[in-house]
Amino acid sequence: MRWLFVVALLSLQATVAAAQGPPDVTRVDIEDLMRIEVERVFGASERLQPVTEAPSSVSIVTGDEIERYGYRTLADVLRSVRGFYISNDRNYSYIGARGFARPGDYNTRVLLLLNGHRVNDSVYDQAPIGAELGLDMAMIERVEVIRGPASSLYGTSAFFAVVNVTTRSGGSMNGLSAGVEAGTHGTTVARVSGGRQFADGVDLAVSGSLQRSEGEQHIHFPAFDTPATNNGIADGLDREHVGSVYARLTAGNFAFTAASGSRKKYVPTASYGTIFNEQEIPEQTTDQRAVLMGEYTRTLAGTRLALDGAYDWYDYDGIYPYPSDDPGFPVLINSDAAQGIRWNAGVRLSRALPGRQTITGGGIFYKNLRQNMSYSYSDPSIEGADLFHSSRHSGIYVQDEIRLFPWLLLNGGIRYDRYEQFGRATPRGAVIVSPWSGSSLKYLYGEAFRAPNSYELYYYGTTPPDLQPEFIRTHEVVWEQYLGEWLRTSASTYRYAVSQLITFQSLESESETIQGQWGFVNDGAIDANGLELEAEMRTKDGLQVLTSYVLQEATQAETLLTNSPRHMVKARLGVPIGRRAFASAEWQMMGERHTLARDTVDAASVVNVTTHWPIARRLSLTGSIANLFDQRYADPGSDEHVPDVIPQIGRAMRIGVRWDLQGR
Amino acid sequence: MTPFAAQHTVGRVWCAGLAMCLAAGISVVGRAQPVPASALKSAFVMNFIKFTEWRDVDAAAPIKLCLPAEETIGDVMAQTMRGQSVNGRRVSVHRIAAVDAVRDCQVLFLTERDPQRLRTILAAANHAPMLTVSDVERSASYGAVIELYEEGGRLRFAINIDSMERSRIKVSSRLLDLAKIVRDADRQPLP
Repeated sequence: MRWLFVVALLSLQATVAAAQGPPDVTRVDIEDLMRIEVERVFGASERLQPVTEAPSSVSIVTGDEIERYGYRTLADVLRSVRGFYISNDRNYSYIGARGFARPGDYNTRVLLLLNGHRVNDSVYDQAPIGAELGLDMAMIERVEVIRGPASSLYGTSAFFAVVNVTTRSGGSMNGLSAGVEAGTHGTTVARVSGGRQFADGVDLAVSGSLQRSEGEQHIHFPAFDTPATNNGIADGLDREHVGSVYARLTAGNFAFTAASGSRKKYVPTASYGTIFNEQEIPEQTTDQRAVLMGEYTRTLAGTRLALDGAYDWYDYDGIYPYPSDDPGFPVLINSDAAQGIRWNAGVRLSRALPGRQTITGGGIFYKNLRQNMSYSYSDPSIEGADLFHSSRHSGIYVQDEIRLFPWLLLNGGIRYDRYEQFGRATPRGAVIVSPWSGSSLKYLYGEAFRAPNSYELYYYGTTPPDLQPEFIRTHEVVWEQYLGEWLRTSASTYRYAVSQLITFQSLESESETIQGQWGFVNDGAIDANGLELEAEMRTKDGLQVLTSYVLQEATQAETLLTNSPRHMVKARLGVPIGRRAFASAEWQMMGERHTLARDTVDAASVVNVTTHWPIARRLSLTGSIANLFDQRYADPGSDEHVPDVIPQIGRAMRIGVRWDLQGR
Repeated sequence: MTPFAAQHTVGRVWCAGLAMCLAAGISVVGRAQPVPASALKSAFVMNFIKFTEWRDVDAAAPIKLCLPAEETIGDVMAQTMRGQSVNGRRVSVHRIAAVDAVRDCQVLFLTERDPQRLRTILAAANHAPMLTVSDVERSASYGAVIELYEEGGRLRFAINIDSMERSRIKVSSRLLDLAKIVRDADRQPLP
């Protein structure tokens, strides 16, 4: 772990610098200050952007809310947000947005950013939103969920939404914190974190966490309900082990982040035709990630400059046990692996121009050093494969915001992306009208693309070489209204059209020569319409009520998509009790969804409750119950699953104790 | 550091640290050596914090100071104010980009020149136990607690008594004595 050494060295330097002592600006008396003449400096550039004026529909979930509502993963955060839904196949969590949750899509159509840096890996383009993210949730300052396409700023993957995770600064942590949790399904969690803002602008935040869960001990899958396959019960195959470390150091204009996470998960669903309830060598996946990144920001003559560079490492290993006819190999083990390594460098400039205009531009370059995939079998007579690939791509973009009148704001941008196989320009535009204070009406036009990923291009070896990016075009109208300081309401209606979908299918019709083969082709178009309503109330005392209703219809060839609920209702209530205690309850309802077999899963209605109680000056207790009423619901499965539906976890309780030492 | 040396430093390095600039400024007050407005404003804000009391707030907890994420002056202020303490409380500096993030701030510095936006932000901050400071013209009469303004090449400040009372913070009489007092009734349209 070389980066740990680098971080230690940097913090040592910081400590040495800090020992010289900070300049005490408060020592200058205010009467003296009033005598000092002001030097003329040309400055002032961008501003705070109210949500009402962002060129998209945005939801923000803060770190406080994550703690108060007991969110354990990003998937939980997204579940709480208007219009988003999550399905889980007992291995990964999958994002549904605006009615789209295609079976087999590893979150490739949502861009996940960590402090502005792309997290989606370079092999599968997967946005890891479950424990496989490898970041302790207690380190999150806030999560911004930006709906709609944003390829005009971020390039590929910013198709349905962008989720930006901002981590906490040392100054906001200001001390040490350690916590342990225990819960049902053999869950234990231990975490420790610390942060501090030192003098001279040096800020350090570090954290580490470990989590183990045995998961549900007996999961019943009716599809396997025969005496030969343990009557459809998967025993002890829901286990999950997670570890993470994180450090961020800010010093002057520089910021460095180093993070690493690892997760191993047993898979109880016997996916891809493996042996059901295999106990000797269970089906399992291991995902590991590490990132090192640096940013430099400063302002030069009114222009704000940001430079950043990062090195990402991603590794996946899967073990899949198959039945074998060979008595020498009672179980045939398939080992599937992928490794993605990339570095990137980017620059961003922004400045205010005369005439109430703000212009932002920049460029980014990605070099995928490795986009490797391989598979092999325990029986050496069966052929495996080693697929080694690398690639590069780059993008340049510009965005301008002009306020024509105090009540009228125009926002437009375009980005050009260059890949080895294709080039693409993606525009976006917004008209934002604020007829009076606290309200805004937005018309948003967007386009986005998703480049075929390495897996889609190479894994099956049969994909036609001219695989093109997917494309989406969207129109959305949003009305946002702040009523006084306590009530916020919004209504939004949209129309999405997706074409050139990258679809896994039989290639027989494509070419005579590859009959019987499967691969990815551009095929299929989807149309979606929807209406989203939301109201949020906050009082001075900290009471929060958030409710939303979503009506959506996403169709392919006039048939409702699988795993696409027509209705969703969400409500949550947070109540402060005294000065430091807090209680919250949340209800999420999702209408019925079609499955791949054109069957239907019932509507799901889940209630979660969480509470925090301080018991001493430095100790507090937390307790939460997820799925309080033990609703037995299921999510639709994908092609790789024999069961058409995947049963979801029932009631799960957790209690925890946390110790905080506040710095001075 | 002699006044001359300090002055020399200011000339060479554009405000390496606020203390240096201020030392230069203070020691040469008689000779009217100017100091960058952003550095000066930082020092004013630190003084405002020093003379402000927040009710119902843990006296040991850090003071959360929010600065705009994308603003030049925010960069300067963040650099000079990080790691500082006022009245035994640490100042924790936060750069915020979204208006929704202002809710938990104890001090909010606003440079928003756009009247519509400023109004939206001040509406979000209104009634919260928050010291809002702004260098935007007429911001105090529009609801900011303190407005920094320039007069005769020097910085002055105005305090809106009504905003102060609404936000349930207590500003010391030493500041009130030096300030131009403004009330909501003086409200004029923003530029």
